[in-house]
Amino acid sequence: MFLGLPIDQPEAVQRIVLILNTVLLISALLVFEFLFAHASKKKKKQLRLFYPGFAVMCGILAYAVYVQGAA
Amino acid sequence: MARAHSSSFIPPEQFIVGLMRAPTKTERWAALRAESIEHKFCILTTLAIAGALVLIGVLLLLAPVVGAVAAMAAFALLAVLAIRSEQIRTIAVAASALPAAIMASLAWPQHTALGQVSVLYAVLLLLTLAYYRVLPGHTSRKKVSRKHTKTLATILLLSSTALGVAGAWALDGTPALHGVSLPLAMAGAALFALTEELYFRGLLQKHTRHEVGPTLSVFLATLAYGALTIPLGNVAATSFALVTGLLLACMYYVRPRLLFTLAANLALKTSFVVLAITFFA
Repeated sequence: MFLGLPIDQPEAVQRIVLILNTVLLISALLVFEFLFAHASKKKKKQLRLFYPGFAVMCGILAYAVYVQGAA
Repeated sequence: MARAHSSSFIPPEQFIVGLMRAPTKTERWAALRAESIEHKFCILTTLAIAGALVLIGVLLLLAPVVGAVAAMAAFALLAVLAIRSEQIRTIAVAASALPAAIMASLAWPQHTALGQVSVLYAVLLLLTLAYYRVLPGHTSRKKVSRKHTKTLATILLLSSTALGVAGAWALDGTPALHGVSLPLAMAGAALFALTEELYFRGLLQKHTRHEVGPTLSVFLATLAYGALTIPLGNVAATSFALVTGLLLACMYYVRPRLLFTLAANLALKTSFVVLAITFFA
């Protein structure tokens, strides 16, 4: 089964996602920094679970920068 | 005379006796009750995660902007849940890959439906492989039976192929394959099948099964699989996806081996693609 998302989505969706992603990434980094500073060694190991999510958000941010530069 | 010990000091003999003392009835009851509450919390949270994924699909169909915000909110909430609760951590992290992939797909729109789907699956595949690395692996305590393997595999492949044929006929193919060549469609089918099995069965269902049980894991995996088709706005397509998801999840429930479900998914998609391009594109 081919799963899909609406392909004729307006640019508003892209803009919202790029802006909110930046806000979300900054908030997540602040929370993560706070948790990392006060966490035990065991908990720091568990925080590695969030690295892939961070990588996706950084990728979207990089794309946002590219789109902004190209505009 | 000054006190030699502080008021919180426990003499060693009392400490050892305390360690050796069997738990009282009240303590045992309290521990069981706490475990029961934790288990109920895991079940409720798993149901809520399934509901949230369906809601994201519905919102993307009705109001894409709201759906995009909902996907991001779901991703953030799942991350908070994973930080706060150790019981639900692996399920929340595994489930968060789907909203993250949806976010990435919405941020990078493509000109064709197949391109759009490819971006979604590429991000989902990368996240799945990354989570395979960081999430704790769960080895099954029960040895997987090898009885009736050949019979099961034959039934599986035949039923999946039949389902693919039925799906192509019932849905008149799919708009995503219009103008796409057969080799490209087959390559896409193989990649999508691999991604789906690695994520929905290998990550989501496996970790949910370990935390809350096999039945709820089948429910979550099926709903998550069907939820991705909701934005298409086609009831037949969503129903077909739910039936397919249920079949594959049940296969994994009976025989938790990714090779079986991957072969079944591949057979299903191959038959679907060949028919869709040959007769309906």
